[in-house]
Amino acid sequence: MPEVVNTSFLGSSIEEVESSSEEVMVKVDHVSMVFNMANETMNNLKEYAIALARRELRFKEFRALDDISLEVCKGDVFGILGTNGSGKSTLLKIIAGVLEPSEGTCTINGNIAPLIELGAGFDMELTARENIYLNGALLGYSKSFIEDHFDEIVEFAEIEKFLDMPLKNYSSGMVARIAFAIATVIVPDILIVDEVLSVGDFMFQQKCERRIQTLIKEHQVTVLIVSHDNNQVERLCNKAVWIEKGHVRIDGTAQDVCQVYRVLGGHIGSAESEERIFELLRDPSIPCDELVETFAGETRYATPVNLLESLEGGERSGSIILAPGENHAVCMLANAYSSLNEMPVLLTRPDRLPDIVDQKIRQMQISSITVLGGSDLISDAVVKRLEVISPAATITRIDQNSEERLAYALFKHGESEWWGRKAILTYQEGIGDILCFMPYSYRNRMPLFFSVSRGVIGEDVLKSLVSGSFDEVLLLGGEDVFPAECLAPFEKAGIPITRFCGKDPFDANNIITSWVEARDNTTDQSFEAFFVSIWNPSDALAMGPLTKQRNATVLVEDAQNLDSITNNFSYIEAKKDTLSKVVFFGDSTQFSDLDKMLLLKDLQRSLRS
Amino acid sequence: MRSISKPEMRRNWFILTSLVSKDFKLKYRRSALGVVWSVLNPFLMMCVLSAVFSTFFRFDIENFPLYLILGSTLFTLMADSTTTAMNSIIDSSSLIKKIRIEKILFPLEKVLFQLVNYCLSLIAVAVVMIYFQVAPTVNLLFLPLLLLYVLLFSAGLGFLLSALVVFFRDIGHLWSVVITAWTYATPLFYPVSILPDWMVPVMNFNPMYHYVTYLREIALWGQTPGLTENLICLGMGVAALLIGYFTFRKLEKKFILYV
Repeated sequence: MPEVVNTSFLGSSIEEVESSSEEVMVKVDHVSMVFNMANETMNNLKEYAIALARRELRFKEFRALDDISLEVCKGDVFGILGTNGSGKSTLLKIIAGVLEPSEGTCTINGNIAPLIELGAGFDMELTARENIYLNGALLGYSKSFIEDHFDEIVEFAEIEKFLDMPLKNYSSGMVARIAFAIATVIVPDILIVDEVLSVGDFMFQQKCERRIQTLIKEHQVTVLIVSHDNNQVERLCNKAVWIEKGHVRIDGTAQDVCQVYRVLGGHIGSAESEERIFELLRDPSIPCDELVETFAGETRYATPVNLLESLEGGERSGSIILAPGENHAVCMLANAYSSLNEMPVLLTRPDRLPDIVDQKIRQMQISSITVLGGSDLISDAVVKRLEVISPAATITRIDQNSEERLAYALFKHGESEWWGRKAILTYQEGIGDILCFMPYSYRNRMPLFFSVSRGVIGEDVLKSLVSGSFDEVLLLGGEDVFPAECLAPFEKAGIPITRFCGKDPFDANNIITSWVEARDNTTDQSFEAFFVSIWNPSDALAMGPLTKQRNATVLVEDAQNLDSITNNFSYIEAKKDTLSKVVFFGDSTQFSDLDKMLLLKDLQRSLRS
Repeated sequence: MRSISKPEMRRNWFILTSLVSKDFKLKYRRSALGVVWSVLNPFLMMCVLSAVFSTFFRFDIENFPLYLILGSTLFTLMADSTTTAMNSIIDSSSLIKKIRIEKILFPLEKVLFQLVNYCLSLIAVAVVMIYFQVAPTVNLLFLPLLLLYVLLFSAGLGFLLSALVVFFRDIGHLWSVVITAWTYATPLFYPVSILPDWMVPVMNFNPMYHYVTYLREIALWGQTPGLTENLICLGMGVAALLIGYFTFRKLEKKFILYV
């Protein structure tokens, strides 16, 4: 759950004219709900007496709802959105009349069928038939009404065969079906639906939705729906409200609210970032998507194949590097090694060659394959398979199982005069920083070295670094990883060290980008921005050759963090004149279409101004 | 007091009967003798108690087993209805939290269910009466009136307890002790005559003493209860009901926060 949550009111888009024409069915007027946390936990006389003596009663207050006002008109299908614990269900309970608000009033016009947590009042020992009568009675139906509609309920719930079986022998889906069938057999004035549609199988969910649709379309029933599911609310509702920590964030048409919720709901970030994105969201212009490209294979092994195909001359390349896709650090080494002569990088499963990679290798005329890692990282079966599918190729295996040794072996393996005059020293977990550096390190053919463990640099690595082959060592990692004392040998040898360390991955990204720009003015010419998801960079593991060909700058992004998004907006705006394309590495779970659209909107708007 | 419309009354009555029939079904489901237990249970209880008391204590009471079963069944009616009513609100918390429902129905239903049980146990009483050849008199027609008094009293106590126990769960544990003490403080197994003098006025404040005596008068001794006695029994029932009802109504709004 996000710690920093903005609760300010963003706006309302309900037109006054529209709301006045229809009869108001539910009117929530400045409702607040205060829970007394101190009293909540008191369950016995002793605790009560102690608390009374200490005058601690009515001490801790928790405002579940704070001054909420809304109106639902006849025939509206009203969605209530919000993250967990934001007060949605409390509001529904107040509307359903189960809970009395601490302040304010809630007026209901008509009878309510509450579908709040289905199956309340079912007795597992009783049969389905008995439960239908009992539950019907509890919901306020008359006996004759239940008798008249009994077959209808049974038919909807699809339980004809099991009517006289105790409910405890039913599956939970079946119980939910009966509950839903009983609750919706009546045509109420107001129907309240609280995430009930998330139970049951797919077919049943559709059936429930159809039933609700029938109630809406044929009987003009007013419906209130609570859901986390944006799409469902957008599909069913015409109006919606977003509640966060007991405050109304925005209300209006379902489409608007859902869109805002999708981008801002459950995300962390400062109020300024949020405002900026919200404002952008409200911008009606539709961006053209020619500027966007996405690399997202079905698996992490498919993406490098896509990258290879879009690499100019990639498929004619005679040599490739094969790295274990599950080990990010080794993949980074593969990129560093690839910089020597721009060999494409492909990834493999540790136990077998993925089909798509297998196919690609067979299509290509390959004369040499470099396999990174010993049998712990890539099994012998993979190498044997390579021998079979590419008999003409020489297969070189860098047979080391630790990242640190592998890095050193790779450095030795490449001819020393081929490597650049700068080296990167980092630790195995610092993948984000290495990715940020990749365009620069790739261009400058920088070897990559890892520390053995925190604060320990391998002896021969140290020797190579200070041997005079390098003019500068770039250190990626803070004091906690590389304390000053372990860097003493560099000082002695007179090798300058530049340390890169940011407060968070995005800060580090900014530091690295500006450092690189101060040295290389690559962004003065046409360049591309590569967006990499900070939480799951698996689609970017083989992007090295492409960063060079496309003249790229890498930006890491956390799509859940609004500050990270606006940070990248700012960068893009500043570089708008030379930016030629935005490339996303990651599927829709990392970068949604909406995220991409917002970025484009921002870019186009800054281009216009 | 709030006004209750007719359809709402009918709705509440349907809920009550549904709940009573649910309890009834659940109580005897999957037992071989089923509902017979309602008759058998008080009867066997009587056998045990009369065996114990006629061996060890030897009170000079005519038709002692009948004396015993009349008292103990009536007392059980009160004890069981208050105990089950007390837990009714907590047990139906899932319902109270989710649907708008008249909450007082839950304790009331438990009391009614126990009344149904009591009526079944009257069969056992009848059997004992036949065995001892105690002929029923016209005074037995007072029985429904007595049951009304006991019902008012138990319901009132049940409302009070069910409301209080939501806030203080300790009451639940305490009540079983109170019931045990009450059992011995009421002349169920012994005659009033063995009580020391100072206890007699105290006994007048024990409603169960009055109800049990009332029952013995009409069923065992063939006496007609006087007006004062009726008024005392009614008064105690009404007083309990009023206290219980208003406490319940005052507290019920907060139930949802505590159950």
